[in-house]
Amino acid sequence: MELLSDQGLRVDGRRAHELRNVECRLGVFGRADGSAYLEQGNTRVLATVYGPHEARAAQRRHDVASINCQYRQAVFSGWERGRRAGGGGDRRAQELGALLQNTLESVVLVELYPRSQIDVYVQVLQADGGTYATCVNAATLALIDAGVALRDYVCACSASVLRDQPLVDLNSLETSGAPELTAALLPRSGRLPLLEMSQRFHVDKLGELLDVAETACRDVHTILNRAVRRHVSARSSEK
Amino acid sequence: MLLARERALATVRAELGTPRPSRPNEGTLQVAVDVTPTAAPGADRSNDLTVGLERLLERCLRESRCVDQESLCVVADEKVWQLRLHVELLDLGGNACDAAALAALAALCHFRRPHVSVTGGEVRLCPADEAEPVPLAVLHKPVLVTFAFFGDGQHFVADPTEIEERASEGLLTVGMNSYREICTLHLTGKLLLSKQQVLECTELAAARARSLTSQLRRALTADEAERTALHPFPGLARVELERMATAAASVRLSGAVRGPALTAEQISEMEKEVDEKLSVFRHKDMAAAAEIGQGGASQWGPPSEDEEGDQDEMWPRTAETPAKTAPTASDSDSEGEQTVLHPEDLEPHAEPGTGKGLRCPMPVR
Repeated sequence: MELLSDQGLRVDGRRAHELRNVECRLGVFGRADGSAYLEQGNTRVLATVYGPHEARAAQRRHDVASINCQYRQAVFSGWERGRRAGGGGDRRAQELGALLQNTLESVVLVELYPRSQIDVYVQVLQADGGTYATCVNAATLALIDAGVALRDYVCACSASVLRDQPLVDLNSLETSGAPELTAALLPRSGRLPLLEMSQRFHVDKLGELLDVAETACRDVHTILNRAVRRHVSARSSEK
Repeated sequence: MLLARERALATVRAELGTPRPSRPNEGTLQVAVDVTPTAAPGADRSNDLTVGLERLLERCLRESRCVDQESLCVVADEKVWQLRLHVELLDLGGNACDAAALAALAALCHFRRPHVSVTGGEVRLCPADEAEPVPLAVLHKPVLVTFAFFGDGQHFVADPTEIEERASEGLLTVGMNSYREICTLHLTGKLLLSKQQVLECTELAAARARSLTSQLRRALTADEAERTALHPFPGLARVELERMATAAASVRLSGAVRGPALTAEQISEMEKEVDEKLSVFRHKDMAAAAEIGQGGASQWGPPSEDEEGDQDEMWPRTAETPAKTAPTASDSDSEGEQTVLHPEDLEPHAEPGTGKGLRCPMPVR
């Protein structure tokens, strides 16, 4: 099976620069301070935010808020059943939780919430490539829904290069066949709080890959922005 | 592996086992990282470091296809080689990633697994004296280079020490091989980078990767020559690793990251010096230093009784001490207590072969 046909079509019929279909909903849970559900193609992620609330003594910092992130992948979400806790699945969850915390710490205005804690929980319901990017986007939406002060949106997307053709927003088939770069962008400043890469590609392609990822992240930003405005205007017209 | 003050020890073990169901004709490579309590106070309780490092090494070595895993298959669907790579951080001097990655890579390149013969449905492990142990098929040699950023990303330094790491806003780790291919990128901390900075760092990382891999290749060739001269020793021999490590550390100390690379003569001179010191401690009659598959007696002897209450002696002195001669004698610890090595400390107290080595104090933080 070819990941990129001669006519320039990918396995799911997209062109190289096209993103997958995005569906998002904010405020899906009543109990959480903020929540969001995001679908990018077949990757479905749920994010909830609790906070800012009083920090536990161990996590309390006197001048800034501490952000606690947990990443969980449902056992039914991947190809093989049974990412049970303990072993490889748990370690990857820990790694991604720590990575998410790093990314969000650079964008949340933590100085405004001293001695408090913001919990961000991300649950992957279905994983079909670009999981981590979708988690970052969902977490951003949930933070906006919770009303936490942010420096900017964090928009993430995955990108790759296959036979000199850059691709964006990979699904799981493409992830296993090609190197994948996940990048997040703050659209206003154009800076990257997140950069992750797997497999290998030549360094000369890095510049092009970063450009392509940046464009894709800006596209994601447009979509998320529209969704947030729609949600806010719907909420305000209810009241 | 000694990178200035940072020490890491890597071991590779291989077992025959069943393959993963999703990949029936590939072997597996598992990475485990341990931070020993001697590395830094309270370090063994730090889980983030070990998990982060494990995942980084997995991405750098396994997902970038550094080792050809299909060559590890013995009988498809039934028996494959399962490699376990274990890295122990002995001394946290900053930049644990780079040291751990280089140690892991050296261990993988150095490792020899037993030859297997498959007759009909039967798999037979050939002992070392029957068939020469086989090295792993290493397709490319990725190394990690870390940069620490300061001042809102304005300034960065390569290969940060512990203080630089702690004071930095974030770290960018770039994994590259000598073919200028990026194997991994990893950003930690509250750092916001621009595209230009990333490209600049990757260029520097490419130069550093090239020098490190050539260093490694030289040490491996020298070890190979020695190995064929003596008996075939399967598995890991720490003496060789330490030698490579010391040479690598010397290169680092001479500022090879941003400055001009050392000429081949200078490097070989340094290696000769280290060789002379090491030759005192080499045990030619030592039995195999690692187990493969069936297990065997541990070569890590108990602490010697005639030490005067030296609690730091937890591992064989023979391999540990030579590595201290080159770098730490010239390094000065800004944090206070530092035991300075004097030449008289390095005289061997016991003859080789008895398992007792020389007494040499560990630098105390």
